[in-house]
Amino acid sequence: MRIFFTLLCLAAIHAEIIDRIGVTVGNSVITMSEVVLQTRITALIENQPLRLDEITLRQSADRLIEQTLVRREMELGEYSSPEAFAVEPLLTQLKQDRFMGNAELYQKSLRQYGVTEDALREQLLWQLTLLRFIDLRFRPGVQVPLEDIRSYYRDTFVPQWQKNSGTPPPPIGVARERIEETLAQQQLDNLLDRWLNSMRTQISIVFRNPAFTETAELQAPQGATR
Amino acid sequence: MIRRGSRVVRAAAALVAIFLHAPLSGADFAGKRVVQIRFEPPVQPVPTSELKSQLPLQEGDTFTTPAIRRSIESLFRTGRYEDISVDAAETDNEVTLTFITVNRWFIGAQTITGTQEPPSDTQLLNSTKLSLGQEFTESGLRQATENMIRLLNANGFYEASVNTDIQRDPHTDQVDIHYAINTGKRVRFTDPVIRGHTTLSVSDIIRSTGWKRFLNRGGYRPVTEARVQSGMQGIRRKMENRGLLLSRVNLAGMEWKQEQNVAVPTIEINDGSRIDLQIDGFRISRGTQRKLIPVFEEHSVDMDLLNEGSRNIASYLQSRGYFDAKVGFTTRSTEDAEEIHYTIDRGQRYTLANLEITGNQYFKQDALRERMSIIPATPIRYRHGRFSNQMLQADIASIENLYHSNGFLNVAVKPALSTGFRDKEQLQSVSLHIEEGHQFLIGDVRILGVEPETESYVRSIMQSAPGQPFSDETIALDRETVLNLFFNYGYTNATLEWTTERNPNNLSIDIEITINTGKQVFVRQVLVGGLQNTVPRLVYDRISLKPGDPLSLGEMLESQRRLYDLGVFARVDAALQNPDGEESAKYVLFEVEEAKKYSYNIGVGAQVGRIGRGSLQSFDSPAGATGFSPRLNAGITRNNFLGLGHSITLQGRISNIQQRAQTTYIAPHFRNRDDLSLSFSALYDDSRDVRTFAAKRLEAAAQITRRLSRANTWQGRYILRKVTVDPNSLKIEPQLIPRLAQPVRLGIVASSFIQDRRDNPIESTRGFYNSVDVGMAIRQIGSQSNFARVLARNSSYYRLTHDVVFARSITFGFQDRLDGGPLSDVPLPERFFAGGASTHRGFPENQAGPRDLITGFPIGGKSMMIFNHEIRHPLIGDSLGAVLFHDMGNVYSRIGKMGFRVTQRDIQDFDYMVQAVGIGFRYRTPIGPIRIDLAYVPNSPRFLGFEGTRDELLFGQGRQSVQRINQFQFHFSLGQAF
Repeated sequence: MRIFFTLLCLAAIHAEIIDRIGVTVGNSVITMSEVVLQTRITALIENQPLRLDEITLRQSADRLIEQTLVRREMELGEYSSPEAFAVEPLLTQLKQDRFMGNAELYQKSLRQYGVTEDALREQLLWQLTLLRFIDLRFRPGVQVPLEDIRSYYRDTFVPQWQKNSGTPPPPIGVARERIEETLAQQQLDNLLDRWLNSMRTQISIVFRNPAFTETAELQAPQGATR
Repeated sequence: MIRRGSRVVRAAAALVAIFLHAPLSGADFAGKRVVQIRFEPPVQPVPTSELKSQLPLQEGDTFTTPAIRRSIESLFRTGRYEDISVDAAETDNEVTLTFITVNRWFIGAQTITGTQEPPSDTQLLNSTKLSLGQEFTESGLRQATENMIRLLNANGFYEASVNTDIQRDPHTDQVDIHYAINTGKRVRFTDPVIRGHTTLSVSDIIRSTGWKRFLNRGGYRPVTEARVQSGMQGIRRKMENRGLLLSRVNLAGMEWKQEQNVAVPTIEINDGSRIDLQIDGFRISRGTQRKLIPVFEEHSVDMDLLNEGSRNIASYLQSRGYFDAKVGFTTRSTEDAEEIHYTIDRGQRYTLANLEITGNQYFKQDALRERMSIIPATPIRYRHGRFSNQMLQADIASIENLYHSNGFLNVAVKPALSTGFRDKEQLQSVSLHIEEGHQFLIGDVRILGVEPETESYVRSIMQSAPGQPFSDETIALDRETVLNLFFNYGYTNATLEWTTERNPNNLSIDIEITINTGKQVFVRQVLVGGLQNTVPRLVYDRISLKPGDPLSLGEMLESQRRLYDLGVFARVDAALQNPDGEESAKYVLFEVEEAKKYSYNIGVGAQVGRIGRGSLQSFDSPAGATGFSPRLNAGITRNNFLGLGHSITLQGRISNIQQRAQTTYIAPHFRNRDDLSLSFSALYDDSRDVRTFAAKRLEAAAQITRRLSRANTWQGRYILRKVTVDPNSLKIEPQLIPRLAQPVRLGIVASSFIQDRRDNPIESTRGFYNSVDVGMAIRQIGSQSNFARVLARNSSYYRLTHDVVFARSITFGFQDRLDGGPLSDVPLPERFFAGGASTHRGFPENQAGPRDLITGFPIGGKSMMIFNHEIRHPLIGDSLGAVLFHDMGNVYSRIGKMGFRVTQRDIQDFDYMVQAVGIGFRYRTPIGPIRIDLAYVPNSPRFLGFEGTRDELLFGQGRQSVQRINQFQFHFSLGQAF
């Protein structure tokens, strides 16, 4: 009995770890509370069940690492960020698409995922920032040769059109602008990936593995939301 | 009971686990007051007060999760933590936060034992990629040892192992690493395995690698990385020589055969196509072709490289006067070769006869021409001038930059090239017309971000000031100057940005400078590692940074330089511990590697000139005869004696005219002062550098040297010397021998002052050099001969044009006997002897001045005065120069006989000024110019020489004849004459 009470007392006066380093990126840190929050927001936006297992947490950490690298580059290159109000149309769109404009449903979902509206706004603002960065940093280097447009039209566009609609595809002159943008987006994605990979080799990125394992264990009871 | 008890424990543990495993979130504490902030462990690498002040969350603040994140970030930015977690406990609706930290370790000294060169200790330590002061991690250490093993393997040590021993110092968070290396045996090369397609035979390949010993004595050589690389280079060279420029030669691997202790190289060789390069229209040497056509270097053929080769050839031809040269090429692929055919139409050879610059108001022509590489033709040096389009473009850019940096932002330089200068078709003229445009001046300079006092100081060190010409380059220089100022006061993160704005009148430009000093960083402590034998005080006294000082990067470098200047360290690394960490005080680290205790030197040389001991019996050639004297030098130095930075050197020289041994003890930083040095020396010398006699010299000396300033040096010394002249070697009048041949002990006190303001001591072009040496030999300090002596020199150098230098020098000396000494005259070896390549080129070595009236051999004088004048100018290209010189003066029998008389009164008169004029040639080398001087002496001395033997001289036989020092003198030497 004595042991029981001793342990009970110990438990009663316990202190809890409320945050810790998850990943270090050069001189910056990503804390586990940021990783968890990122996971929650991503699940909310993507309308996925909330999973806080180690793999999901690591995926979120990866996204935060990219964020850190891009923010660092933006600071060094003095890139401008979008204004906070630029988020409003995106948020309205999200509310409309995900919650059919139902404010109550929206608030309930925020509570359910453990996300505040400010945090959600920040995430949307980050996505706008990233798009702007990609545009400013990589768009000038993107060129789509005519030959590539022709190949895409022939090998991808036409077969997909026929498969999806069964009607004759529009002529290349009509589809050209759309194809060009698609190919440009592909190139932008590639360029961003290559840049991120090169940044990852230049800067020391260290995962604190125990932090992920232990956090996943701690969060296990919260498991799946919905 | 046991079972029930166990269940209770398990239940309690589960309860505890539930509490402890609460979700990682501070949501429960949101909005509550933080009553206390603690750190665990309590002793932190940064003072707790400083840590707390850096936290965004302070005691008394309201708890928020973002504030906790920012606090972790802030602590991590100090760079001193490996891991940080935050623990919160709630009591009475208030929160106590505990930051639980794990310290970071930093790399300190790295030492190594057990190596066999190559690789050297330094190469091995460099391969670790672990830098002083950087973060230490176990993974980094693993990588370091792997790198070392790789390097050892590359050098033939396939059995090598590396054991590490790390010592952690918890006071400084520093880790010292010792690498104990067991290299094992070095393997040897053996017959390589050849892969690929090549026409080279295996024996040719092996021969070109150089891996086998000469004539195969002892088989293959041991493997080293350098040998592997040079072997591959050897094969590549061989392929190139066969025209196989596109060949591919790679080392595919080295296989270790443990039983035989050899490494089998596998070499992949593919011949590729042969390159047949043909150049028609102009003869270009093979070496120049290699420089001009990048195909040789790149081992590849494509249109870009061929075009580049074409441009290079055209530029080369232009630089040789073929300004219209046209170069084309064709290529053709055959079965086994790529044929490249350059066709050159060299056109007419022009001479750049005229360079004209017009429109320049602000700068004089000379100032512009100094910056130009185009040079109009000169009779010898540049017979066709120096010109090519590339040079012209570079010169235009250079002139425009000069104008830009003086506020002429819109300057334009327009070139025009014409032929037919002075109605001669082959003469070309280049004219550059400069449109200077408006000169923009600086209007106002505003400096923001610093206190008024600092601002006025910053202004004082900037070149950009109101009214001065505006230029971006000047502002960039100012930026560097100002930032260095802040860096040296501990503002290591200072930044400076500037903006400019044109005034409405469009005549001046305002500058706004914003300085962000950032936080000031101080020295926490200075740590020195690597001292084995050196006394620590010697090192610490040379480090000007002290704990609490602002962290000056300039002082760090200066301290590093001072440590190198001690001459006892092979390597001095200076670094900050945790360089990127944001903390207010940092450890400054110096890691030294002591140089080897002993150093050796050995040299073999020869002297050719009018030297030569000759026969002791012979009295031929009193004016010197050409002789050859081989010599051997050897020395050993004990460095860093007693760990005080002192050195002891024993140096010897043996030749057929000199045997010399000298030992020197030098205390270079006497009394711990950088400007003082003390030395003691002992010397034995048996030499015959003067043809008249051979002398043995035993000498002990003590000298103190004080560097008064960068240019001025003072020396004081005491010399105790015993000189014994070999009476049998004396070639003078027999009656004088008893007086001049007796051994003399001299005690001399002397003092020298040297002032050296030459721009370059080896090849001076401006400045001056003064020296005065005063000495006195008196009985009170142990001398058997009393005399005083002064020797002074003054030289100065003037640049007449860009590359023509006028140099002049005067050397003046006199000595005289003082009353009271037992000897009646100044001993023979102490007299002035002069003449030769570095004093008076009208004489052979030491042949100036009074001569024995019977034998004609020089007997030295008691005063001397020599003037040297030279005009030094380039002759051909940049390496060969010429000198016109005039030397006049002599060694005189006494000061009263000195004068400017230029005629010899009779054959017993040597007190007149001998004149020599001549020309010399200088070939520039990295160690100074190689010198040849040819002198003509219109009034060289005549004298009576003796024809006969010593016995004949003693018995009044033999015969005297009138002789004369050759009117033509030749000198070969290294370095300028003065």
